[in-house]
Formats: sequence, structure tokens, C-alpha cells
Amino acid sequence: MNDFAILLDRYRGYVCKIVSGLLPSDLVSDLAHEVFVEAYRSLPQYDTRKAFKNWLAGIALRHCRSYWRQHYRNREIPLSALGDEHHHWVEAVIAEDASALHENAESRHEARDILEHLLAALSPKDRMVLTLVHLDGYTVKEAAEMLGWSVINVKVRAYRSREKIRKQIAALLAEEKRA
Amino acid sequence: MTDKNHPVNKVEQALIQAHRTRPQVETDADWTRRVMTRVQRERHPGRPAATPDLILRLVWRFAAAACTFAFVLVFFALQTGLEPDPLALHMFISDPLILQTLYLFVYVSGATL
Repeated sequence: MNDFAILLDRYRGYVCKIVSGLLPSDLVSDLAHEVFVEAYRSLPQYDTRKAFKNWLAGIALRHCRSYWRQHYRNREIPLSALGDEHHHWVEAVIAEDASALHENAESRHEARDILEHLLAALSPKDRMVLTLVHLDGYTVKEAAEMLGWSVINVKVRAYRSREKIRKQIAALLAEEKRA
Repeated sequence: MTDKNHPVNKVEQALIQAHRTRPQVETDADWTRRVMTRVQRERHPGRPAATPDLILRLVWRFAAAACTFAFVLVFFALQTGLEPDPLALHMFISDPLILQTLYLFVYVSGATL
């Protein structure tokens, strides 16, 4: 029991970091809670030849995927749904107006809104791969181990999902030009 | 599109930066305690669960049986031509205790029968 408390203390930050990249922040602590409870239940099935960290990440990712399966509706939200403040943020990025970027909480908030808007159009699998590889910066091999998928599968999915996002960014910029 | 000054690349990099600088969700001692309590319960399944959980478990355990019983009862009532309303009224009036209680309520409320 004390051993599990040590594991919990050691890996709670890691699990929260993975989950917070994939889910709305108000759900993170509850989902991390469920991840550790499931990890405890599944400990007898843990293969000690594999890294514990990746095994735990796999459980966390399964929970996140399950959440997005329930909430994903293949919704393509029109870019016009974004507000003026979001368009100002895009303008500031293009103009490299450093003072308008990352300097204040509002600016970061707008950036996250835009990112959430773009990610909403991706399937749960694409969303997870893109978040792990391109946003969080894990290597394809690390992401594959966490997800329990083949390296090729992750590589292809990461490439395709990035292309989808880039197309959406291009559409956003085209709309900026028209406005 | 490999040019880092391309607008798409600029926006993409800014979004990645925003994602990486997002506020981290911190878990406190209370969160750890709650997880350990759940784990403890998993470890000792015989130990009584918290009251709401126990009630819910009991409700769901007997739900199927209760539904079946209700269904059989309705079927029986329909088959035998039982008329529940007059029967209930008869039981109500013929039971002196219920009638006395009813009089007491009327007396307390100040109304008249």
C-alpha cells in the first residue's frame, strides 16, 4: 500500500501533464484520479519488462480517448465563429508583435481557444497523436509506446493530422486576408 | 512550407508555444488522500463502502427483482379483476388507527370534517 502511495506521489504530475494536454482543465484531476485507481486494479497485469511510466501513460490515454469518443461529433465549426480578439491574436502572430503575444494571460487564453477550435475537427485518435507528437513534443517512438500502437501508425497519423491542422490554419489566414 | 517565416508556420509555432505554456493542474494532499481511500477500498472489497455507495449498490442489486415482482403483481391484478382503488379505500376506512390519525390531523389543522 505504501509502495502505491510512493508511485502515486512520483507519477501524479506526469499523469496530470498528459491528461491536461488532452482534456479541459476542469476534468483533469478527476480523470487522473480514475487513472490511478485503474492502475491499481491492473497492477497484476503489468509487464515488468516494460517501462512503468509508459504503461501508466497508456491507461491515461485510454481514459482520454474514451472521453473524446463520447464528446466527438465530427463537428466542423466555421472559423467565423471565432471572435475579434482571436483574429487580433492571429494578426499579432503574423506581424510578430511580441508584446501582444504570451505577455498576458488573455493572449494565451485566445491562443488556446483557437487551438481547441482547430482540434475539435479532429477524430479522437488524430487529436491524441497530434497532441502528443506535435504539441507536447514526444517522439514518435515514445508516443507509440504510450498508445500501444506501431511506430508507423503513429507516424502516418501524426503527419495526416498535422496536415489537417495546417489546412485549417491556412483557411483562418485566408479569412483574415478577406476581412 | 518549411520557411519558418511563412504565416502558417508562425501561427502553428505560436499555438504550440501556447499549448506548452498552459497552466498546469496541481493536485493537492486532499486529492492524494481521496485516491488512496479509493485504492484502500479496492484492496479490501469486504469493507463497507461509504453510505451513498452502499445504498446505490443495494438499489441496483434488487432493481431487476423488484421490477419483475411489480410486473407479476400488475399481471395478477389484471387477471383477477382486482379493483385497487375501492379496495384501498375500504382498507383505509376499516383500519381504526389510520382513521384516528386522520382525525388528529384534521383537529390540529383546525379544519372540520
